[in-house]
Amino acid sequence: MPHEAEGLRVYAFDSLDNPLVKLITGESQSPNYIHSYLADLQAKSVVEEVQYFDRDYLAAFSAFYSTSSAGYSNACRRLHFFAQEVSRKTLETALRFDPLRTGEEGAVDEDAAGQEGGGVDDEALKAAKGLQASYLGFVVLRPTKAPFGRTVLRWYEDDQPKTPRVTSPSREHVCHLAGLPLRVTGVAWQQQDVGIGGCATIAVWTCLSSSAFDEFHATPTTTEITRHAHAAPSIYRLFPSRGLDLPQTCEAIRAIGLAPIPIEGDQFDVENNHSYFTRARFAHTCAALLRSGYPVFVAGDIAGGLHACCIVGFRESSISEPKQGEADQADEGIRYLYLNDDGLGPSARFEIAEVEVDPGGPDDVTDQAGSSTEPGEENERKATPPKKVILRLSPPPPRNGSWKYPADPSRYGMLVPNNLVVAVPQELRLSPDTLYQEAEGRLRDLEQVHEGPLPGMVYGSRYVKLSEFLRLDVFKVLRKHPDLVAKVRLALAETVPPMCLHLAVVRFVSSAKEDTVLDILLDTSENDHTPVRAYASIAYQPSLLPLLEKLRELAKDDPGFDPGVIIKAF
Amino acid sequence: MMPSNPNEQEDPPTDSGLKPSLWEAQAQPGETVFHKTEEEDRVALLARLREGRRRVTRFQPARPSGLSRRLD
Repeated sequence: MPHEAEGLRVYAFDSLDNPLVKLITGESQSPNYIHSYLADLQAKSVVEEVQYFDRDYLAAFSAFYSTSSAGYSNACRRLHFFAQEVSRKTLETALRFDPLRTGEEGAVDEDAAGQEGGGVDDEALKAAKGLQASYLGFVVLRPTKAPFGRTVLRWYEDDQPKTPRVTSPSREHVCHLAGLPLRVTGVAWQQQDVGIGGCATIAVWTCLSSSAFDEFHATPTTTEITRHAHAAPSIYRLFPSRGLDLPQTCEAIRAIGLAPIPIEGDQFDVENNHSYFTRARFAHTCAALLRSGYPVFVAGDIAGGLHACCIVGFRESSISEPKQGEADQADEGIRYLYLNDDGLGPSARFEIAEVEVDPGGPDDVTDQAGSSTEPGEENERKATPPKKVILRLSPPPPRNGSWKYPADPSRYGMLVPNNLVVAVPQELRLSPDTLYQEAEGRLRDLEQVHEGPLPGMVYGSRYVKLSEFLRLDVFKVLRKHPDLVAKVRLALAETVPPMCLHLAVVRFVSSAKEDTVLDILLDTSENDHTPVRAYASIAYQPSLLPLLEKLRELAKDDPGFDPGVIIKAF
Repeated sequence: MMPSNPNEQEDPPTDSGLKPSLWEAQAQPGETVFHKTEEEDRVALLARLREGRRRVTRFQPARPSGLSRRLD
């Protein structure tokens, strides 16, 4: 039966007619979660496009649903959410907008106030700008049992500028409502569609939707990801999909021209028979990658079996206060991550927590009553294992009254990450583990050429595009000294041998003074071994210069200690 | 426009008393003082540097366990 034309529909967000509310049945947590999320964003109105063709669903329809006897439609619905009262009249006024008076890429720029006045229809521009300013994002609803298709929602306002929420994988999505361009910045999410892919497929899809890959390719559909994952000989059926294993996950990433980096937990829990991560390694790996826009695919144990989801952001932590002679790895203090989970929704806040691990195994020195034996030879034989990282759903309190339909967090009480996978450009070869080692190694170098204990230091490392480091990082660290900003940018452009597109940066901050003292820029394009070649070291303190020069001089005998070109940023 | 609580605009950031993150900290030229080592024995210094590098944390997979487990 051919599709028939249907008009746009407008609902109050709190109305029982809101299509989102009608999906709240208790079978899935996603409608509850998304409703609560939008309530926190102060959603007031919903506009529904009753017929909408979605690229991802059309691919799934072609591969699977079209041959089902259930008679699925190939059309979806799309809901747009606004933090203002929207009426039919609002839409009619906004849709008189003049595209020649709108902002970049045709989208209505909420800051384009200067364009008002002097035109023939300021009322239309004002209405269109109002819709853009209050736009919270969209949800595609598929005509399947798992209805939530591609969904992009705005992040919550960030009220912690000193320890900001890092959302680098987010990108701007532009959609069109009867020709009116509407922009929203976020990371795409969708619900698991069991016909086409499992949780791992959706997690890979989210990874590849990142801003970091805009210049490489269009985001593949979930159907394409499942096909790529099964390109190698496999005993598993393609559709309906029963999920992916980790080699298939890596293959799906490789097939679109990116490089997968698999990272397995470095500890093992004998009792629960799974590998796990320690806090320092887990937090550093996630943060170093997310800061450059690379989402992190995480596979782990959860109540009821194995699960995969995608980490798309985190909250920075304050620098700690190590004593003189001590140094802390900065990312170890990170407390919150944001996950896109196919069973829940986008940007769900999880806490990084730790639990004790039973030494277990045949050498267990714990007696049957559970009490430890007296200190002695046996106790020394079996060391206490490092604590295990778990992720626990930890939503912030409601921002706008209480949630009408709160999600049930019980399934997300304990996700134990076993493996991480990240998709990166082929030319980025330096792994997070090697970067971690190199950062610590550079700290050790400084300790050796310093007379006495170093001031209490906090250090960390990250990946960053060269252009982004020059544009933003140099500015942020020297913003009170514009002349130095220019001097450092020029020095990096003119005195350092050609650098690769993707850098790694190791930063040292003196904790007591909250003072950035040194950045070391590393090559990421070589073999994944330490020592890693340093292109340059930016000294923000004059007294650091003799130490770096000493290392440079010693590097004639051992190039591994070379700090690269020394740039004076003072 | 985004409706907002008028009082919210005047509220200080919730992290106003905290130290910044590593990547938000700024340079304060002249604030932190370092002292170069007086060690003149080049061989000894290189040996100490190499020993320092040998002591860095190295991560190894605990067991090659997860690569064939299916995630559904």
